[in-house]
Amino acid sequence: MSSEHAHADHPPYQAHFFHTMEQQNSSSKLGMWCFLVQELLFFSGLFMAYVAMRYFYPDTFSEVQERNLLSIPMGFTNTLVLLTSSLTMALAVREAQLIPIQEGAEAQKHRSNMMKLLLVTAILACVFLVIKYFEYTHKIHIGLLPGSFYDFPEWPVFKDPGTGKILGVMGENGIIDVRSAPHIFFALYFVMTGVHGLHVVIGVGVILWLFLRGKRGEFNQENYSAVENVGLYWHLVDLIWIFLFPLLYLVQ
Amino acid sequence: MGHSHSEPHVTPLKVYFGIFGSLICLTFVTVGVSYLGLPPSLSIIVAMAVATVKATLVSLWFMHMLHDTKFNVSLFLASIWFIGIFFVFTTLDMASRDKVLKSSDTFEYRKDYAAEVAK
Amino acid sequence: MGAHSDGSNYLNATSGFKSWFWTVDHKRLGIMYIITILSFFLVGGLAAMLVRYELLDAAPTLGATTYNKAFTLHGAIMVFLVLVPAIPASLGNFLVPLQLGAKDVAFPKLNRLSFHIYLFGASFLVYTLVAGGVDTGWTFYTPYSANSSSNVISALTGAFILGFSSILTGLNFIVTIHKMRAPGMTWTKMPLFLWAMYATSLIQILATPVIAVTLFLLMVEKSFGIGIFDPALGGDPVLFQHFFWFYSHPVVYVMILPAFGVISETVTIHSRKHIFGYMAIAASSVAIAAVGFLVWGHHMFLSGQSEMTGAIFSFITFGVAVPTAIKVCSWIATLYKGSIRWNTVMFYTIGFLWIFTIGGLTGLPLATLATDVHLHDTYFVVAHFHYTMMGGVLFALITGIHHWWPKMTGKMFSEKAGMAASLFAFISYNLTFIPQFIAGLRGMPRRYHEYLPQYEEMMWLSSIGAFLFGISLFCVLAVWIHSLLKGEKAPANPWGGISLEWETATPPIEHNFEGQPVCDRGPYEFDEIEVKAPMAAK
Repeated sequence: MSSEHAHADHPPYQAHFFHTMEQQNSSSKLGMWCFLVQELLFFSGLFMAYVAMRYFYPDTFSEVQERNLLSIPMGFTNTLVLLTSSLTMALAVREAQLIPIQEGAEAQKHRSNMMKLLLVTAILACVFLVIKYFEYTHKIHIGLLPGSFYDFPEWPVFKDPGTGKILGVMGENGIIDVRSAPHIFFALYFVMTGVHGLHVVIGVGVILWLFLRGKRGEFNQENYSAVENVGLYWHLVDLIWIFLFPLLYLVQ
Repeated sequence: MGHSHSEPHVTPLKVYFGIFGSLICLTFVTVGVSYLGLPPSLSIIVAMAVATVKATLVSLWFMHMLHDTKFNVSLFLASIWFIGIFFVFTTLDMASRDKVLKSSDTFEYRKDYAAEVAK
Repeated sequence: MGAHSDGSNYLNATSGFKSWFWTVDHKRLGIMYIITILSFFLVGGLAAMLVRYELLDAAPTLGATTYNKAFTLHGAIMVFLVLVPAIPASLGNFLVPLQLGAKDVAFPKLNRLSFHIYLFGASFLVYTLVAGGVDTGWTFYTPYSANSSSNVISALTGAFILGFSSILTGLNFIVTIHKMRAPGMTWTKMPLFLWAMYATSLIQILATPVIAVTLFLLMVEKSFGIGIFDPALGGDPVLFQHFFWFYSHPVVYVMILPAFGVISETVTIHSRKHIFGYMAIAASSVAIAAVGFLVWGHHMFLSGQSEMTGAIFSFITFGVAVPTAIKVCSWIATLYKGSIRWNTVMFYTIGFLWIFTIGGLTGLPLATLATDVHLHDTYFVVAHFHYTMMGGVLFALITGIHHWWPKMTGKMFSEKAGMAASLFAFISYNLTFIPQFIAGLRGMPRRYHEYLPQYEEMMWLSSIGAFLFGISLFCVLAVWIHSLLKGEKAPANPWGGISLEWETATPPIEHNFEGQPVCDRGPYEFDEIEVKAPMAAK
C-alpha cells in the first residue's frame, strides 16, 4: 500500500524538481516544441536561399525539369516511404499511450507493439536513405555536382580557368548565358537534401534508442513523453520533405 | 486548440489511417499536377498549396496539435510568422532591386565580360 | 527559509574540479559562466587595446593585416563569447529558478550541456586566434569572407557551435518560466528580470538558428563554391547580408533585454519604490523582441538594398525605439521621489541610464536614411553600438553582479571602493567613446588602420580613454577579489528585497529552498511591508 502511495507521489521516473508527472511531461513537450521551432527556422534559411536563387535564375529551374535531371519516381517513392514512416511513428506513440502503469500482459503487449512500430519506422527511414544514396551516386557519376565541382557535359557551365569564376552556361556558339546557373541549382539540391538527410540519420539513431529503452521495460501511459517527443521530431522531418519534394523535383 | 487534459487524448486508429490515406492521395495529386505543364508561377502556387494542406494534416493529427496547449500551437505559428517575415522582406528587396541593376547594366556588363573571356 | 544548520550551501556542498565541471546545479553553472565570460572579455579587451593602440596616431603602426585581424577578433569574441551569453547565461542561470521559487531549471542536464557546448565553441575561436586570426570583420561579409585565406572556417565553426549553447539556454528558460513558477506567482507577479529573460529566450530560439544556417551556408560556399553569396559564381552578396542581419539585429536585443531586466530590479530595490509601469515594462520587453525581427535592413541601407526596402526598414526602426523609451522613462519615474540609496549598485544603475540613453538616441540619426548616408561605416556607428551594446550590457552586468554579489558569494564588498571604481569606469568610458561620435560626424571611417590627420585629436583622446577604461575595469575586479578574500559576511537580505531569491539562504543551499515557497505578493511592494535592509547606505 505504502509503496503504491510512494509511487503515486513520486514515481521513480519523475525528477526531484518537478511536483507531478503532468508538470514533467508538459515541460518536456514544450521543450520539444521550442526545439522544433528552432529547427524550422534553421531550414527556413535553406528555403530562403532556394527562393532567392529561383528568383534570380528562374529558367534554370525550369530547364532542370525539362531535362529530367531529377528522378521524379525516386522522389515520389521517398515521399511515400516517409509518409508511411510518419504513420508508423504516430501509431507507436499511440501504443505507448496505451501501456498501463501496472506491469502485466497488457503492458507487455502494447510495449511490444510500440517497439515493432518503432522498428518499422527506422527501417522505412533507412529505405529513404538507400534511395537517396542511389540518387546521389548517380548524380556524382554523371557530374551533376554542387557549385564549382559541377561538371555535366550535356549542360556545361563556363568556368574561367584563371580566376575560377563561373560566368554562366556555355552555349553552342560560344555565347555564355549569364542567366543560367545549374551549378547553383545542384548546390541547393545537395545542401537541402543533404541537411534533411542528416536529420533522417539522427532520427534513426534516436528511434533505435527508444527501441532499446522499450526493451528495458520503460514507458507507460504516464511516462511516454520521450516517445511522443521523438515522434514530434520525426513528423517535422517529414514536414520538411513534404515541402522539399515539390520545390526541387516537381515545380517547373 | 483545447486546453491540456490531465488524461492525454488517444487518437482512434481510424483517424490515423484516414489522415494517412489523404496524405497519399495528395501526393499523387501533386505529382499528377506537375505533369500538366502549368506556367511556373501557377505551378509553384498549386504545389505549395497542396504541400500546405499535407503539412496541416501532419501537424494537427500526427503531431497532435489539435489537442495541444494554446501556447505550443502559438509557438509553432509564431515560427511560421517570422519565417514569413524573413521571406517577404528579402524577396521584396530582390524584387525592387531590378531597377538598380538595370540602370547600372550589371547583367549587360557580365555578358560582355563573358564574351571577352570566351574569345 | 532554507538555511542548513551545518552551514552547507551550493558553494561548499561538494568540492573538486569534477563536482564543478559536471554539475547540473544552475547556480554553479552561472558562476562558471561568469568566470569564463569575464575571461573572454579580457581577451576581447586586449584585442581592443591593440585596435586603439594602432589608432593613437594617423600613421600605421601595426599594419593593415594585423589591424584587420585585431578588430575582427575583438568583434567576434565580444559578440559571440561575451555579450550574447553575458547576462542570460550568468545571472540568468543563477537567478531564474531562485526568482521563480523552483529547485532548478526544467532541464538541468541540458543546462550543463549548454555550458559544455559554449566551451567547445569557444575553443574554436581560441584556435582561430592562435592559428593567426581572421581578417574579415566579425560580420563575415561576402565575397571577401568566401575568398579570404585567413582562418575563416574555424571561426565560423566556433560561432556555429556557440549558437547552440544560446538556443538551448533559451529553450530551458522558456520551459522553466512557463512551467515552474511558485504557487501564487501569476505572470503579473513575476519579477521583471524574469519577463526580460523570457523575451530574450524567445528571440534566442527564433533567431539563432538563422545565423547557424547562414554560417553553415558560408562554410559550404567556401568549401564547394556553391555560388549563393559570391557574385563571381553567380551569387548575391546582399543576400548574405539579409541572412546575417536577420539574426544579428535580434541578437542585440538578446544582449540588452536581460540588461533591462537587471536595471528594473536594481532601480526599485535601491530606491525602495514600486516599479513605475510594471505592465508597460513587461509588455515592452515582448514588444521589443517581436518588433526587433522586423528591422534588420537598417544595417544595409548602403549595401545595394533597394531604396523601397530601406524606407520600410527605416520606418519600422523608429517604431522599435518606442518600447525602449517607455522603459527608460519608467525607470526614471521609479527613481523620482524614491528613497534612493547612493551606493555602488545605484551608481552603476544611473551610469547605465546615461549610457544607454545616449546609445539609443544616437541610433535615430542612423535609422534615418538621409543622415545614415553620411554616417554609415563611420565612427559614429562604432560609438553608437558601443554605447548600447557594450556600455549598456557591461554596465548592467556589473550592476547585477554587485547587486546579487552577497547572494552568490555570501560576502559583502567595500562600498567606498565600489563607488570609486564605478566613477572611474564611467568617466573613462565616456572619454573613450564621445570623441568617437565627434570623429564619426566629421567623417572618420571605421575599420581603417590609418586615417587622415584631422581625426588624430579625437582618436588620441579615445585611445587614452580606452586605456584608462581598461584600468578601471581591473579596479572593479579588484573590488570583487578583495571581497572574496576579506569581505565581511553578508546578511541574508542586505538590500531588503522581497522577490523569492531573497527568501532563501545567502548563499543558497544546493536545492535552493527547503520546501516549496509560495508567492503571495508582487515583487516590488515595498510600501506595503516592513522589510529590513541592513545594508542601506547612510
